[in-house]
Amino acid sequence: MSSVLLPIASAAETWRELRRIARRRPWHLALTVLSLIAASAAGLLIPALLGLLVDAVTTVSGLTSGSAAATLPDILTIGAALVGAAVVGALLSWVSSMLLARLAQRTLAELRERVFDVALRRPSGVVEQAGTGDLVARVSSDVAVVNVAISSVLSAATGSFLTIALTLVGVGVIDWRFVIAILLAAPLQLGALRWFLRRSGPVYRAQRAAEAARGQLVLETVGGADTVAALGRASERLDGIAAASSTAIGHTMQAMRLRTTFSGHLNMAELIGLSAVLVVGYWLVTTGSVSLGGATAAALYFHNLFGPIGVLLSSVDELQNAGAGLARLVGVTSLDDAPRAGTRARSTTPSVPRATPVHRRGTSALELDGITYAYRSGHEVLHETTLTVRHGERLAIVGGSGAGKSTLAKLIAGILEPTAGSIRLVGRPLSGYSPEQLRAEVVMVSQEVQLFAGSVLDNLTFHRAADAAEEAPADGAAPPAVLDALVRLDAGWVHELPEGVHTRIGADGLRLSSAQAQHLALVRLLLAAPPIAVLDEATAEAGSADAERLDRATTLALEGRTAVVVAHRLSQAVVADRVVVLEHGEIVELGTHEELVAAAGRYAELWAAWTAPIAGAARH
Amino acid sequence: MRYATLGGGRGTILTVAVLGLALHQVTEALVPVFIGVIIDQAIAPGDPVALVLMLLALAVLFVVLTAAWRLSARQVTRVYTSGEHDLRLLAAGRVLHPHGLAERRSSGQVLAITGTDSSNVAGLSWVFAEIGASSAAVLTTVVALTIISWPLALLVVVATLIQLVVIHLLSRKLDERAGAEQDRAAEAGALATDIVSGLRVVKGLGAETVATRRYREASRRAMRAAIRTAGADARLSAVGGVGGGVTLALVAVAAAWFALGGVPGFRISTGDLVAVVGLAQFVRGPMEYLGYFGGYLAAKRGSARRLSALLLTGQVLPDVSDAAPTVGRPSPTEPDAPALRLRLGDTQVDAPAGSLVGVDAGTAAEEVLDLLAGRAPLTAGTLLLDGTDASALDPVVLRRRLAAPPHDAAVFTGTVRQNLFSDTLDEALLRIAGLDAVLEHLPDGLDSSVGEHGRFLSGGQRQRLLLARTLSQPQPLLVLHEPTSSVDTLTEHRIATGLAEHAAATGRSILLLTSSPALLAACTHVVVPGQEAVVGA
Repeated sequence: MSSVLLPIASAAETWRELRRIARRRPWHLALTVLSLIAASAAGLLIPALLGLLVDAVTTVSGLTSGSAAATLPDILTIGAALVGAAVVGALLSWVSSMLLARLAQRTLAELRERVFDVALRRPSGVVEQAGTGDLVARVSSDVAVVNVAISSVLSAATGSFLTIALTLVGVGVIDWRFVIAILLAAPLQLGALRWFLRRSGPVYRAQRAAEAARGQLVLETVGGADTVAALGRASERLDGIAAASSTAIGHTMQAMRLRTTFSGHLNMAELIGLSAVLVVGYWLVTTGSVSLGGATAAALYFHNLFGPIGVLLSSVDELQNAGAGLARLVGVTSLDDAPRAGTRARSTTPSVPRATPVHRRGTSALELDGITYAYRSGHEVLHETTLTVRHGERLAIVGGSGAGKSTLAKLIAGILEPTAGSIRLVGRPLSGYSPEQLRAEVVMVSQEVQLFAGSVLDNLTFHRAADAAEEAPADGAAPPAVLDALVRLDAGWVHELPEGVHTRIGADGLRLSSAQAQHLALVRLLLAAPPIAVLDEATAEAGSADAERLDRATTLALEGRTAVVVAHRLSQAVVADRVVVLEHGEIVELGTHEELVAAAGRYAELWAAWTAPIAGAARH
Repeated sequence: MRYATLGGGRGTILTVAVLGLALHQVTEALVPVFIGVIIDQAIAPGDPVALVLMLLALAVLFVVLTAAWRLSARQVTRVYTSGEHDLRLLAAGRVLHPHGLAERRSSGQVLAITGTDSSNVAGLSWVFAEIGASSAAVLTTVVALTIISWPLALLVVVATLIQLVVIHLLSRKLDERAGAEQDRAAEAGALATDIVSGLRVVKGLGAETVATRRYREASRRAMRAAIRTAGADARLSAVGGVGGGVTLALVAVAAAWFALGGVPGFRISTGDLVAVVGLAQFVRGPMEYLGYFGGYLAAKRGSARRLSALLLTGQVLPDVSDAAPTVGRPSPTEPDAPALRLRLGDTQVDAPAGSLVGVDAGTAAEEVLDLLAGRAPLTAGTLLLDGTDASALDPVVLRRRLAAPPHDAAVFTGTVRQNLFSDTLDEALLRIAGLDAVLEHLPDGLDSSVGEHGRFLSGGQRQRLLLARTLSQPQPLLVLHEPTSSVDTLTEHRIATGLAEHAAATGRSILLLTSSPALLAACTHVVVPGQEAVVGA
């Protein structure tokens, strides 16, 4: 696990965010609360009616059986009332739990979408430092925990709370002294709850952390299953998963021990409360202040509270669990509160028209001023780099591994935010661009040619699914623009796949070679058609049989664009207008290929090494 | 399912736990009976001694109740967690099985199966335990009712049964809903995993908006499914509520009539009336649980289906019978056979001990790599290791002789040292791979954290780490696929010479699947499929 995790919101922040979302539907909220109260009230009629029944029986029990027959209509009326109370109560609880589920599920859906949105819009540096596992855990298992709480305990817990409150009122109507008897149990219950919450919080947190660690281990092991097999480390990795799983189980068992001890305390509270109610009943009945029916109703009321009290107090931990999940979800959204992101979000709606005189004369495509970047503080990957890229220029970045080439490319593409310094894109600070505006200007083809689970077509049009759907011919064939791009970049092999452009690729589909994946990434770039393209080692596999085809495709895909190309293969540098040589995070040389070769510096050295083996190979 | 609940000695613990839970339910059922008795025997006649004695009995009842719950709940949790654990490892083990998975699963799917699904299936032990306990509670109630008055017992049982049948018929629909909801939720989770894992690509394309929209659609589908399930759930409990209310009214009216002596010969006391009503209310819970049983099982069934589908997925490679040729030990019949000989069609690749052999296979390189790594079956062609046929060798045995990691091998969260997967660290090997220069840039050298998937490293640094890892493996035969594609030219040069020297010095054979001129130039000989073997310098 990485040391830095994504932020976690405080209880107050979480609560504020939830209220904010729920308040968007004030009527829905009000109606939900009202129907919940009504449903609980209807449920309380039942013990009251049973008390009346006992009274009806006892008043006549000493008399003759003839008067028993006379009481029959009374009994039947109470029976009918019981049925009525049950039907109304059932209807009300149906309506209230529907309303509650709708409200809660909507809130959760909005929250998780917001989390996803914020996570995606933040510079990837933040997420990557925490590890994508943390984010994945939040959008999957934290969402699931909250979901479970909503569908299993939320409605029951609110219902129970209201039932308890209304029962106290109902018992008070019979005789106020019963309320005092019931409340005798309360200090014990609250004490037990406090005892439990103080211990369970850390245990639950440890449990969630252990499960997250286990998840990440599974994710990485499965993702690298081939590697694990090739290294013969399957059993070692399985042992690792087993150990992580055992740790999580240890916490689960500990949590269960706490819970059962807690319920033991609650049982004791029940015993004390029930005994108190019975003693008070004995006293009140013998002194004649309450009927036997009243005492019966009070005892039944309290017995009926066992369930709700248990539900409420034991769902506190599940609600607490859900609260922790919510805090982790809301925590991600807090990333959005950074002032910079705020301006971004605001600028999205009235998007700056694309027709802004972007390619104005005199304005450079890109201006980097004193850029510094560190993945971890104290370890700068780039140091005070200043660089200007002209419109329509093709700039190659050259340098040894770890010189900072990829980082520079990502900063230019706006994927990372510089630790210090500023970047201006077409004369405007990069930070002022919304993601949409940024994408309209710069597209980056990165080192990882990750394909998403979906068809080839999905992958090619991933960046603009909506437009593509509109363009797509009704018969399900590929949109003409896509077919055209495939032809232009000589990617005819796509049509030879089992189902052509509809072949499923990615995590659970057909495995493409890395050259094929790169080829698709270039087609994707052509379709995105940005004025500025950033290629990070997009032709790293050059030299293979596909190299020439990929090189040609690269040239075609970059035609008419400003291009920044990270070049390991110096063939990319030769065709560039200018070459930048990076070393240890600093620019050491800048000029045309010819100038740099003539300068006999670092680039000339690289060039010599690059050309030598070719000459050697030609000898064969 | 059976394995999770009963396997590995879990059956015995579960039986004990079920008995404990049953005792707990029985004591719960006795609470209203006690209330009735106290009202009848102590409060109605105003007998203080009876009151004290009976409250003491009530206290004993509560102690038993608590102890039974505490013990059995812990035992069931033990069964549940150990079952979950074993299922999880079974699933993970299947994915990592050396013979491969015929149908690939995304990491997100496997995460769901080893997480939620395993725990869902193992949760079956809870369902079993509750069913046992509920049955016991129902039985106790019926006995208690029969002692008070058998016609009332009959009434309670019949009315509750009718109620259960209705609920059962209705709950079938809920089963389907539960499955659909789980699938939707899993879909949204898998989509989130897929996109978040490819965050860099999404960002490079500026596809955040589309990705967000796709997630939003999945999230809305999950939400609608959850609301529909909640709706069905609420309808079901409304029906249960009405049924329970009607049953209660019937029982209460009948008991009151009995208490009034309306039916000669079956007169019951007021306390009995309270107990009967209390029992009729209590029995609803366990009976309802028994009615929901189908629903609980259905929720597990979806998970069980996914889990068993994974466990039953076919293998890429056939099992090897024990009679097959044993480990590819040097064959005495062919003393000067090369360490490795691969024949595919017209092309033959020989890698004698101590050689660095280049194969410029172009697009076929990955296929060749998969064959040699035992990830794909060798159907046409032969593979000889030290002159022994290794075509049908068990992949585990093959991999013990030959290390052939994928080109884009995984880098795991941890330190550089952990990622080398070597017990004995040889500095010289790290130098050959060019990793020494990488380590200079890292804050803690070998003990620097590489980040998730090695994201703290650049592409070239990662590649050198992978090369150092392969070189550090104990196998005498190494297959490297484009090991320097992301490495700068000068370093590539150094690596090429280093590899040739390493092979010659140690007698290891290294097969290079590459088209890099710098690497090919350093090879002892180069094979270009479809052409005559080219023997280099």
